[in-house]
Amino acid sequence: MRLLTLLLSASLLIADNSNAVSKASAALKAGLFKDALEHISIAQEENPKNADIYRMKALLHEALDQPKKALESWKACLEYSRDKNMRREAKVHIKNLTAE
Amino acid sequence: MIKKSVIYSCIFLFSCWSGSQDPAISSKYDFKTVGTLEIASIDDYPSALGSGDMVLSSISYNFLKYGYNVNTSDVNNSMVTVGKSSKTLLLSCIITEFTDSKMVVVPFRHEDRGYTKTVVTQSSKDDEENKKSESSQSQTSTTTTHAGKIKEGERVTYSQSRVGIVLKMTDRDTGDLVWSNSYWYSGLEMQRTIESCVKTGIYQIKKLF
Repeated sequence: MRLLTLLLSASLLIADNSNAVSKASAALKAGLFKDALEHISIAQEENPKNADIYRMKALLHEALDQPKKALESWKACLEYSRDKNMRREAKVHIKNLTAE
Repeated sequence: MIKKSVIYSCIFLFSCWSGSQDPAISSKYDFKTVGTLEIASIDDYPSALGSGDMVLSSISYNFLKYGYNVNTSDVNNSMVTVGKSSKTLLLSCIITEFTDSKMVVVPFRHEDRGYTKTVVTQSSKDDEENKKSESSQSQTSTTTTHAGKIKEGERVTYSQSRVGIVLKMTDRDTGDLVWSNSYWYSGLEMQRTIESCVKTGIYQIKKLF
């Protein structure tokens, strides 16, 4: 019984995340950046070290005029990314956001 | 005179090409003697009609935002008052990149971490055959490990815009190149990307005067 409950919970969690990814994708296409950001944050729970997600979050925060949160996301992107171009992009954004 | 200009130009261009974030500045030039900055019209990026006007508007906007007086009465060039001196610098801009549809795919993975199941069976019975009061106990333990798996397939696709520019300032009278730098920026919306790209450049120019 416990095993069944465990499996059911795990499948529900996966379904939730999968649903969040689909919703985030749809929201981005529609230009609903605030909604996209909410769904991505849910979907990110299973991908806490994915630099691509931090990059996307950072761009969304910038689009929503949230420079402090954007800066945090770019810093996380820089921390987890091993891609040379992505790291360079993160550095450019960090410099721009910390200017002035 | 011409040779010197060519040498300075080469140094500036090399500085821009090498991807430096810091601008190339003529150490001999006194920026305090500049009173007006003339912003030259900007050519459109190939295949991006109106991109020149968009960047030009953003440059004027940023100067205005930093508190400078911007005069746009001249159809071709805008004038920015940066001081009370007589010299004029010509600010020109070249758009090196103008992309509005770069597709970015972000893969999401779902991790099933698996589980370990341990079943412990414990039993006890009296030893009646020996008519002793002692009891015997037995305990069996079975451990089963189920491996997890990583499911990948869900992905978010979005389009990204990217803008690149080269800013140059030349002395209107002598033609000497006195300042130059290149910038690029990425974002989700083109207008905001242009603003952010231009902002850094104008901020660096502002520090000269």
